[in-house]
Amino acid sequence: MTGDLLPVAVGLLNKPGQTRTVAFLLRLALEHEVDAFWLRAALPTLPRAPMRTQLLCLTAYTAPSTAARLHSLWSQLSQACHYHSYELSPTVHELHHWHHELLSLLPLPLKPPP
Amino acid sequence: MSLRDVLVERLDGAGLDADVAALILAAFDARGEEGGRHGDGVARAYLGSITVAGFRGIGREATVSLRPEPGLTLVVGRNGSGKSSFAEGAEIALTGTNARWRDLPAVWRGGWRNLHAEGAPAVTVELRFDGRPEPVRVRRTWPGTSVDGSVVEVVDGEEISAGLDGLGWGEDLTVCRPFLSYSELGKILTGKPKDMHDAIAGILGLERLAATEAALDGDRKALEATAKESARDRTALLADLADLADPRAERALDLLRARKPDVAALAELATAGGPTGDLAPLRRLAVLTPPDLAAVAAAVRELRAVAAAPPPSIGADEVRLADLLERALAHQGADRCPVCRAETHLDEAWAHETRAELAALRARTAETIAHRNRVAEAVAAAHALIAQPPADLPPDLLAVWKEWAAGLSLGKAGPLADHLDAHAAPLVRACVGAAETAEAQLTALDDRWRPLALRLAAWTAREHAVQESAPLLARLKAARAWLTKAANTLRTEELRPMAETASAIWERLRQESNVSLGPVTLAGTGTMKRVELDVTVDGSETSALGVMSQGELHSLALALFLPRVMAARTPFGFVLIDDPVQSMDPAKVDGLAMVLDSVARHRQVVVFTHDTRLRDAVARLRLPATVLEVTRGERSAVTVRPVEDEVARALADARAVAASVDLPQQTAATVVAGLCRTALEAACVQVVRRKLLERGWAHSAVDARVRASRSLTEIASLALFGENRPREDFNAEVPTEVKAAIAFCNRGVHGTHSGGDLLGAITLVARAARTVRRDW
Repeated sequence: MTGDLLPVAVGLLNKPGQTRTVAFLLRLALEHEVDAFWLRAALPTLPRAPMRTQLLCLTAYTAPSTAARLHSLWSQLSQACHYHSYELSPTVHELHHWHHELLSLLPLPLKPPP
Repeated sequence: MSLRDVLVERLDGAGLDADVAALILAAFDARGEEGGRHGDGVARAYLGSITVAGFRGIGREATVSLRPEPGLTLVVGRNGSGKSSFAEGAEIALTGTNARWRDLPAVWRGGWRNLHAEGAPAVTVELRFDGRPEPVRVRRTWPGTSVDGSVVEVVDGEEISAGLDGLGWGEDLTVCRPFLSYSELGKILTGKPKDMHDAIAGILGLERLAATEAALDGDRKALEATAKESARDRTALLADLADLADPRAERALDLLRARKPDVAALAELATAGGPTGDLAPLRRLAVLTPPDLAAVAAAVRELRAVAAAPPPSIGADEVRLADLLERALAHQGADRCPVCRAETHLDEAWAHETRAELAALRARTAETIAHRNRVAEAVAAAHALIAQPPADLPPDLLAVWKEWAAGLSLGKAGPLADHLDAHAAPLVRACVGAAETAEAQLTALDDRWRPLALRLAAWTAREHAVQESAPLLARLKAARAWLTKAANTLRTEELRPMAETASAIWERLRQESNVSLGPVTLAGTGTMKRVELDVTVDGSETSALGVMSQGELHSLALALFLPRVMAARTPFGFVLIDDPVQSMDPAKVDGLAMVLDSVARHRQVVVFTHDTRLRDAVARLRLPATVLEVTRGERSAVTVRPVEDEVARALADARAVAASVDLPQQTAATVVAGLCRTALEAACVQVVRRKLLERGWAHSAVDARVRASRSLTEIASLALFGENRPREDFNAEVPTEVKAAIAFCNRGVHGTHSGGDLLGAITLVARAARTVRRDW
């Protein structure tokens, strides 16, 4: 599913006024990746848990540093998606940064069971 | 390697003259003792607590307790809650001054006392030095009303000493100052270029090199000034001497024009004043002796007398007759005249007559000879009065003199007398005139020469000194040139790691900024010193400081400041940062959190902020940090309480996971156990650190010990006993609650949790963590 969302997000990257849309698409792509990861990990019910829980659980199933970065990326994207009255839209540079960060984290490595 | 050793090594490799190298080392050694440069053996200080009373926003005594170890602590609170009073209190207690106040007008500084306090304002900072179990307290009080009239004492065990000297920080308090506030951040880049240069160069610990450079340069300048003065005087002397038509001046000019004037010859010329060269004729003229007019008159009288006397005349035949008669007298008595053969008897009467005649003849002969001699004597005497003209006479005088000398060719008394009469007086007049002129000329020349000679003498003495010191000046120049180059190289080398740290920090802080920071170098000398920041915007070089936003400027300042905190030489294990987040973009706050986290691995970083964004970022990025909240109640009653730390955060995460109903039991158990383990381990490590530090361990040793632990039980045992003990001891002494919590963590992580009440287990672990931290 990520394969569908990321090109759309990239296509909108340089369009003015679409920054929040791009942030939203990036976050969606990330969440889809995590869903796909749980399927690979043979834990099909996990996607039903809240995203915070899922990201915390990731620590046990993938590299802890990867899990932490993904958690941070998701938090930042979430913040960018919300229309806080006092916060400004993310800049194109930020979006590029997040896009690269997401690409560098994929695919999520499955930690061998202990 | 000490700075001196570095210097010696570089001097050896430089191929400098031995003299020059010796000069550099001598100047270096004269600049005092070797200062600590590389931080070898520095016992770093960490903050245990800051206690403030009656100061700024804090009324009755309030304390911020800190863990005296590397790590990140956020002190949060609303504006006006008093958190900055802690930051400023600590700074003023340890340094006696405060960056924010220093530049404020007096009216601002007036309001430093808290109105709600009863006693005198006091700030106490508890310090813990690496490797020393006992804390050291720095207590600053203000007995008077002026903020500058404070008294500080250092309490080290039983010992109490006044002043901060006992801490041994010296200039490090300035150079590595571990305090940074929002207002100071703004000043780092916008202040004087030289101040920034000095601030950065100071951290490198190369002040002594700079001082040596300055000393050598000072000596060089002094010598050069003397040489320059001498050269200027020489030019003036040349000009003034050229105006003089004096042979001495010409000689002096010749000597002075030489590339290196012969000072000995010049000194002699200036002091001797004897006749030299072309001045001799003039001096001879001045002492010229004209003919003595009285003698001339006498000679003329004599000449005239001999000329006037009738010349006695005796003919040659009369002389011959006298001879004949003389010889004829021998023939007296003869009957015949032997001459004429006449028969005349040469009788007595004849003889008598002849004798008389003979006598008359003789008398006349003598008279004639005497007259001739008198004439000759008179002429000779007259001639004796006439001298040939001496050398170097002026032409008119020479003509007169030659006329006069022509008299020598006159042998007759009369004409000679006329000649003398005619020429003696004019010659004497001419002579006297010439002598007077020469005398006047000489006086005039001397009058102009004498002051110049004095100047020349003075100049010669100075020039002598200059020439003497010329080799030293050359050595000084070479020494200074070499040292400047060497110092710059060394500075750049020493700066590189710091500059790289700054660049790396900026990389993380800049986030979406299109401004990038290249190498940082120190440039310029004297008052032109500056820090060169290679800042580019979108890759093109520019004076980017002008185009950067306030937030970016602050971030850049922070990037430049933090290496100072990380410098090896610093005796401070802590850094207090007051409100770094203001005017920062939200995205940069994440970068800041990561930067602070990396600094916190080696330093105790205490950040005071009223902004929730940094706290959010730290939590989001799951960075280990302790959060303290400051609140201010009625009458400035300030309270500080811990709101969050690693233990609390891990337990909160664990509760979130446990509360998710959709998780498979096994997954939830594994994750919850892992987070609980994180919490319990963090609690144990805090205790281990506290206990080992109290036993005088260094932070690095504690870190190594913790890293070497293989299991949670081992760390817990270390926390309980503060040392290695057999497992049986631990099992015997550990409270059951803690033992159960450890068991839960271990079982869950290893996938053997059998289900059951996860939330209950988390509560158990929370209690265990509290027990560990409170009771152990």
